[in-house]
Amino acid sequence: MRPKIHLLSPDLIERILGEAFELLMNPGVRVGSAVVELLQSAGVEVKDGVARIPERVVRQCLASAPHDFYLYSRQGEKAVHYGGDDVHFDPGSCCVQMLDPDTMEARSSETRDLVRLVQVTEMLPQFAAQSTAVVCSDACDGAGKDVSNAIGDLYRLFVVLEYSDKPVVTGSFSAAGLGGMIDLLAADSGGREQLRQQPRAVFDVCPSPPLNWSEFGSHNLLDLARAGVPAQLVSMPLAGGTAPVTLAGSVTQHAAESLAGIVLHQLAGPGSPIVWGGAPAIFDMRSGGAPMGAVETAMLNMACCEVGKHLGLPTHGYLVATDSKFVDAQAGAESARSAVLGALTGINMISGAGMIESLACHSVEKLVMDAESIAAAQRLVRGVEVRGESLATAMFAQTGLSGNFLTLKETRALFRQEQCLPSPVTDRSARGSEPPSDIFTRARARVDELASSYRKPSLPEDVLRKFKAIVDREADRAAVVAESSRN
Amino acid sequence: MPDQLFGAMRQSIIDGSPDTATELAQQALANGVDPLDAVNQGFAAGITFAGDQFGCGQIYLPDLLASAEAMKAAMSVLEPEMLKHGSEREVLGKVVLGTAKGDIHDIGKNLVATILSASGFQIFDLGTSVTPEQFVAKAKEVDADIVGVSALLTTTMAGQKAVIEALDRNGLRPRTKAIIGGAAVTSKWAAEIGADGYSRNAIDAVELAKNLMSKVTNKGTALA
Repeated sequence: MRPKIHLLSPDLIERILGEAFELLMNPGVRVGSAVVELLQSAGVEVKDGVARIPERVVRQCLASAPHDFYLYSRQGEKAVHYGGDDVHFDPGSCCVQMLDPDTMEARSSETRDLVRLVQVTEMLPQFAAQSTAVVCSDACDGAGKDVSNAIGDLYRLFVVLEYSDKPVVTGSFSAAGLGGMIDLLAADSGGREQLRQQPRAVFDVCPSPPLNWSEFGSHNLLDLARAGVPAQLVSMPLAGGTAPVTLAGSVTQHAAESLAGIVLHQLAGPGSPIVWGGAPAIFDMRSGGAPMGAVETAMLNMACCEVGKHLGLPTHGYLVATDSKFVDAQAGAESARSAVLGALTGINMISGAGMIESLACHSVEKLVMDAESIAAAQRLVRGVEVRGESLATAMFAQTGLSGNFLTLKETRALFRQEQCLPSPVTDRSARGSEPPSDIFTRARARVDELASSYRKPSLPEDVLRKFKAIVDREADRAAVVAESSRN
Repeated sequence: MPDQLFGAMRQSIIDGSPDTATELAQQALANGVDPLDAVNQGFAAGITFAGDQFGCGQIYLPDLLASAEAMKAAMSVLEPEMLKHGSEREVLGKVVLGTAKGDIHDIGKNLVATILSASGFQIFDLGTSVTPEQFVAKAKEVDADIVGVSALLTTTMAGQKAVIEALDRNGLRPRTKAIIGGAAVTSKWAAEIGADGYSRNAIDAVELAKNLMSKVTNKGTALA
């Protein structure tokens, strides 16, 4: 029996969806101009940029959305199953700061930070996917020109593809940025059709709370649906700030925003893969921030995911993060708690590991610490399994009352399946002659060890050349756009 | 051919297969391989590798125990032959082992015995629930370099102290070194009862025993 938690009763889910359908009609959803025609042709009324979407259209779009799909590794292996109660983890994404382990201060993230995050993630089996974890403030094109602002999104993906074989959770920063990123993935897969058949990446696309699919978000949904590259809806209501203060109210807003996203997406590309995802949080009534470590934030993610599961859709959430500014006890407690809760909910992709300071900063040391909690959560959801004919009697038949279970064949054959064997980051050692270390010290050592045993994938020369040509081309395009907007 | 055989011997220990190890030991004797070579170049290399793997966290106690069992199986075939041929291995030191009085848990002690034996120590295993007097008598009889007392339980750890006191009363220390081990034992406890050494696990025990032997060689001189 796989252990599972439910926060919502079936009746409450129906009520949430019922009110979400009401919201889609009144007050409706703000949408970008790119999707107006598409909506109107489906019979949706759009006035002054606000669409009123009838339940009938939503139901039709839900019917065409796939119930599951896979992300593939570079080698073409199924590496992530979006569907059912399968649980995967990836590092948090899109950070602009990095915790410096020497000074313990946050500084602007750079390419070397992204490379290190990717290397460590590549080595840890707890992470089924990479993420474009940090923005590189030192990003340059082939000519050495600063492109950090112009194509920061594309550059991150370029770095991740160069250093990893795993699937990638990513996203673009603008409507125009997406095309180059899809080109990059197509170059990696060997063409657009191959990318559609065996997608390597999923793109986060975010509505703005409340109920606003901006020009940029609308555009991305359309382009992804048409390219057949998976989209991940990341609705982020802040309960009490940009959404109703009640958890149930915010889950309802999340549902309305996500349903609207599915409509835009499925109208443009029926059957194209889409994920019921999100990064909902409560609103902190003192700081005004989004406390990612709060238990209510975890509850919002769990409840939103339950609604998605009820609709038969693949799911995503944002957990395993903390509000602490260090890799400390608070960071460990908040991240481990939400890793366990997310896994018990059966969220298909759980993003957020490695992140501190309410998603403002990344830490590779925290990433390896989180990997320990994730391993424990992954163990937990495997549950108590029955192995063999008898539970205990066959083993007692061999040991009698001697207590010598350690030397049984069964022990050696089964302990790796029964126990989640921690890395040295988790301290279970007997006290030795040297003084015991704290978890940050052990995490630092583990990061060094993983990074030094990492091997870079050997990409064909022509693929790398294509990557670089796309980076240079997009940098030039962005420069022209920037120039024309100045004039 | 011998190289291939030695490789297979080594692997049988790493795999923890007593049956294979026994067969290979018998095969070696049948083919006229010097049993000393079979141990040093074959089986012992396997247990050393397994020990290193355990030390760096690659394998776990059940694996190490299985390797130790395979080693024991091989040695039980080869040792009588070595005695017959007088081709005994160079003995690094004589070690008397047992669990403290009242303690019947011997997995750790057995593991230490096997690993130390594979590393070249001569082991005199007194078994479980051994009295201080029995330790002293055996240590005198064999002129032991090291006496090792294992205790799993906090309740039997006092027995370790009793053995050390008995060794002192009988004037066996500092010539004979006393070492302790067991799940509840710490270096602090070792210092408190005046033990000459403690190790966290069977693999570290080899280093500990070797270090102590370098001090034992200055027979009769007090420890610095």
